[in-house]
Amino acid sequence: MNNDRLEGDAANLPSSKSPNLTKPNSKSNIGTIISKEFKRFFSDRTLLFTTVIMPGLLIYVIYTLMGSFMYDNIDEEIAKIEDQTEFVSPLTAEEQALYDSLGTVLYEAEQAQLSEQRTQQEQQELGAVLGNLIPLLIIMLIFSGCMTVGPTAIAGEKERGTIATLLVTPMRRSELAIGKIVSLSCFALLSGLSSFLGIILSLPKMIQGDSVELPSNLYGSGDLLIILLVISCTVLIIISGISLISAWAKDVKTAGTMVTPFMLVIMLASITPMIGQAPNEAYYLVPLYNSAQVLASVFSFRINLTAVLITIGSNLCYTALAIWGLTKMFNSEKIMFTK
Amino acid sequence: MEEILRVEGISKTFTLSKKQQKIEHTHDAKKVAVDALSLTAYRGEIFGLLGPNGAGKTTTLRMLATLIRPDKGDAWVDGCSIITEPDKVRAKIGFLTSELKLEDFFTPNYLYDFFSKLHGVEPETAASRKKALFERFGVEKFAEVKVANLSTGMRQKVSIVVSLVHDPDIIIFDEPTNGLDVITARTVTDFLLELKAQGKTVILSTHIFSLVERLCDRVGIIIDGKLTHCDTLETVCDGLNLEDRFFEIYKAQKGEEQ
Repeated sequence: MNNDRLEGDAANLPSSKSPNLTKPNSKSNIGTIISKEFKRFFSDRTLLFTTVIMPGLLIYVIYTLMGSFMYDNIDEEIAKIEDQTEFVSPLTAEEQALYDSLGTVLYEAEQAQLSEQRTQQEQQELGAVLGNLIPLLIIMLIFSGCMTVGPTAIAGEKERGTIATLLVTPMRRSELAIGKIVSLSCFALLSGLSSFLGIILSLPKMIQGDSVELPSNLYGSGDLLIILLVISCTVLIIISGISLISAWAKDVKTAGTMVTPFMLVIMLASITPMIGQAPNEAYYLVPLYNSAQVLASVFSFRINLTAVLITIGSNLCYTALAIWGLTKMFNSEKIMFTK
Repeated sequence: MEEILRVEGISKTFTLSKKQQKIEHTHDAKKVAVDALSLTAYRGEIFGLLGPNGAGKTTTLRMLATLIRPDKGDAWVDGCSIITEPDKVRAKIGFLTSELKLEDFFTPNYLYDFFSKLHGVEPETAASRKKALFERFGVEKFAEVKVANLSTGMRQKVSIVVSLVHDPDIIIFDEPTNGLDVITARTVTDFLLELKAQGKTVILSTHIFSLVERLCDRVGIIIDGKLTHCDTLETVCDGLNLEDRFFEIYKAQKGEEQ
């Protein structure tokens, strides 16, 4: 054996002899994992564009076009009807003037009485429409954001063999699970936020066209805060579900296939506001269903704060449970290496 | 000699899928990959695990690296059990195998810093060690090139460097020269000898006889999951060259089984 010429090079390597060699790293590695995932995400322009910019932009453009198209058509139809109708009055000019002035007085009196009633009714009708449609849109958009980043995050690492490289470090598996779920949720949230902005900005144009303005105080800051909180915890729930599926699957393709039933469950949950409201507060413990119901209640002006708190609290508990499950999966050699 | 690794009767059995049973030409749903394997490694030596493909070398090393758990037995790395203290074991070892890959999207520079943080190496120590390791393997020339754009040899160099960020006392390398050109393979084997000179223990698995003859102080021969011989190279060879001796042992083992 030729050991005689080795001492020189070996001596040049600085040693990191430190307490970490005799005990595992006591610092949390969650930040390191999140930082890596962020670097990966924000350095990839294509991923950034498809996940963050495109959803909001697409929604804004599509809804604005839909709104303009709808109201242009309505205006055209009214104009046509007006053109086709030629009304010949049997009254004399004096009688007609008297009739008109009397009609105006009666009309104004009637309007004054009905004005407040009508505003409330219109708002309720608008709320009912939005309460049915918007939760479906928001949840499906969040899901599509989660789908862009979720399945590849763990199944992709398994497929590429990079997860094993992480698992031979002294990092705790729970840190890896938390780091993954938090960073993926941030990306999905960005995607959801983009969709949210797209909806909010295009909503006036979609509902009433360019000619009529939606009341600026339709939803207050408290409503918007609840919407954002519910969106955030819904993102956590969906990302947790997709992460568990992704960790279970052997590759990205399988993960994509396995997520399909989950998508159906999410779709079903998001249309429940169209079927009816939650019969009692215990129903708000059901994940996804609770998010759809709370979002519907905010958009239709019938917020139940207890339901909001149950929804946020239970969703956070389910996320913690998912982190625990993911940690177990990272510890399972059967799931990580032999599937 | 100071004992740094002690393995006592570790066994591992895998369940075969129908597809795997077809490939292996067997009707048994279970396959014993490692069967009651015991060995000891000492500080400052290079220990070689020699065996044919499918003999159980990689499974043994994966158990020592705590990636998979033995069904029976235990092993202690510098006094820490692979069963009860896997986190501590992982802090003490550097593990390199072809199944461990680096993320294509990142540069060697970033990956070194990332794994240094995961191992809790102080930033100053990490920086000076990175400089020395990068120079030693010539990584500084492509330190800012994404892994996706590196050749196999370059990737292997980066993998070695990254597996040593925390200056481990035990380095476990599974087929370290597989798929490398002769120049890179030589760089790797020279480096293993350097590590030995530094007082590190190197456990490597291979099926290349010349590599064992050149590097290893002691050798374990593993056939069908069983460690048939484990001693110094001279004792195992018993006057023959390693290749002839290996086939003698192999035939005897297979004959015994039949």
